[in-house]
Amino acid sequence: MSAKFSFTALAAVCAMAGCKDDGIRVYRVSKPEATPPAAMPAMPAVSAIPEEGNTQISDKPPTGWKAQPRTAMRQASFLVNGSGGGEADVSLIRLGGPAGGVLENVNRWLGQLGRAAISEDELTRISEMRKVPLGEARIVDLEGLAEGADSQKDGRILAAMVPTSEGTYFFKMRGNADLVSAQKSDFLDWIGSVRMGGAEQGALAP
Amino acid sequence: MREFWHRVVNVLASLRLTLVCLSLTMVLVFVGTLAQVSSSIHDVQARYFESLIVWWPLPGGGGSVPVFPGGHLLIGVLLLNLIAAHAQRFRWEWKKLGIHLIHGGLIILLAGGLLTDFFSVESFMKFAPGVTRDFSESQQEIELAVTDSSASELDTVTTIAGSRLRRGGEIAAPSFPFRILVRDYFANSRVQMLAQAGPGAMPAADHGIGANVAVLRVAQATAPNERNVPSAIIEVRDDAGKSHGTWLVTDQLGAPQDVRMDGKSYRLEMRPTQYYKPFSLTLTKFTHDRYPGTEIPKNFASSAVLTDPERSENREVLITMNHPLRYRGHTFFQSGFDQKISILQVVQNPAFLAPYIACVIVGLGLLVQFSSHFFAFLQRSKATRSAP
Repeated sequence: MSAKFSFTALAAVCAMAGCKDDGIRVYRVSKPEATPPAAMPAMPAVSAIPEEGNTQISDKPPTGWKAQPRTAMRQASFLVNGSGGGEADVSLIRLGGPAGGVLENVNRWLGQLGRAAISEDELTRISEMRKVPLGEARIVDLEGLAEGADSQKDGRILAAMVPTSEGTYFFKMRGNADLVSAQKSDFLDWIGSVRMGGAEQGALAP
Repeated sequence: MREFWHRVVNVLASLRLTLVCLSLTMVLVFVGTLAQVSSSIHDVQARYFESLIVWWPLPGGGGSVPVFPGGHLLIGVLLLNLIAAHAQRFRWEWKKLGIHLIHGGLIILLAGGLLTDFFSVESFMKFAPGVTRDFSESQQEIELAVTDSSASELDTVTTIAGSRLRRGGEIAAPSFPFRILVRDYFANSRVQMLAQAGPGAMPAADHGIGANVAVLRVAQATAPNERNVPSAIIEVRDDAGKSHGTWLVTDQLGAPQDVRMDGKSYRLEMRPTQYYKPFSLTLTKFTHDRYPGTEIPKNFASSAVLTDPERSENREVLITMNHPLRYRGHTFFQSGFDQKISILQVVQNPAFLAPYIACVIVGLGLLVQFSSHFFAFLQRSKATRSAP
């Protein structure tokens, strides 16, 4: 094999190997059917974060809640559709430790709803405590609509935080204000049904 | 020039080249197998086998150098070698029909392997009963989606591949009125609330969820059942170069963020790469049976409605473990489940028939070849017996 031929072949191969797609695509797609952004599916329980992603839980979700695939952070995820076209996204996330504290998280949610932050005293006034199988839940019901937000998918956050020895559990329902209000009883029942262990875990077919 | 091409063909058709390629392939398979100790199988496949050249990163991040031919190059050269040798040496004769068939089958096998690597796409469709999906998702690849939902009928979704984010630099597209500057990319990461991340932890970004969390770089996943959790810190700049803040994008959060520009809202979301379809499936029922008294899966079945406006299709389909749905170049296998979610593996492989065709042709060639030798042997022994 001549040196000239070898060089030509090597240069061609390196040039081909160096060809890169710009990796940018533009699609026009139909609007997601009853899918608020946070409910977009991600991978199932195949995760590199065992301490945050795959603790077994068991629960009894209300009828009418559509189960969504779990993500690396979400241990449970549901989509709720209202009769008037409203939508709500329900999630259960566990984070290690105090996870930033209750006040910081509540203020972050208020910011998402376009509202100003509140003080610790105000938080105490608007939150309620409830005993659930996982521990003491602190429940907040926040309402507001950020500028430009879609009122069919946003406007109210109903959340519960349960600190445990393994971390803090965050239960959250966010969506259309009327729908979230109507679903409050079901949401609280669901929190009361969540227990550690005994979950039916997914499996891949052989 | 003619002499040059003559030499090219001679080299391509040489048996020496065959042996060199086969030897290098053996070394590549050996090294690639060892590399799975420290890298995921997905990364090893991409780096060693689905590449023209194996690049080795220089210490200190000073670029990469080519160190070995990759799988695509070796198989491509073997394919050319086989075609060139066949064209140069073999002449058509009926008694060599078996050899011709065997070579033809091998050529189809090698070409089919390359086509599969280049054009096949494997992804997953996951949905609960009542949900309609017109896209499937990659198990490994991620993308940053910028969605403009301002139009009443259709959303405009601009996707930026994870490989593009990894390269860094500035990214622009005509479908959104700003530029994205990739400030940092994490191939695998953990996101923690600031208070949890410990003293001295810095917010990952100054806008959105990134202002409340820290992002940590961690070693890439290597176990087969793990996957990386990529994250990126991006800066959004308008056309005048003015910064509109830094944002953390990661598929760890499962929640998109909104960037407002020119009175419109654009949704930023890091997500598994989505492959849109010109048709949709609506899951109507999902059942999974187990062997009695065990957790061993026995049977999965998804009943769905297939809707394709282009072809006026609207019919019910049943997908079970051993009965996939084949439609418009896609094959939907019932792969598994996650609680009440049905998981379908979606395979698009334009060359999926190649191995079957190749095996039939090679088998036929071997049969012809050995039969011709066998009958020649019978004739010779018959002639020997009947000789005086």
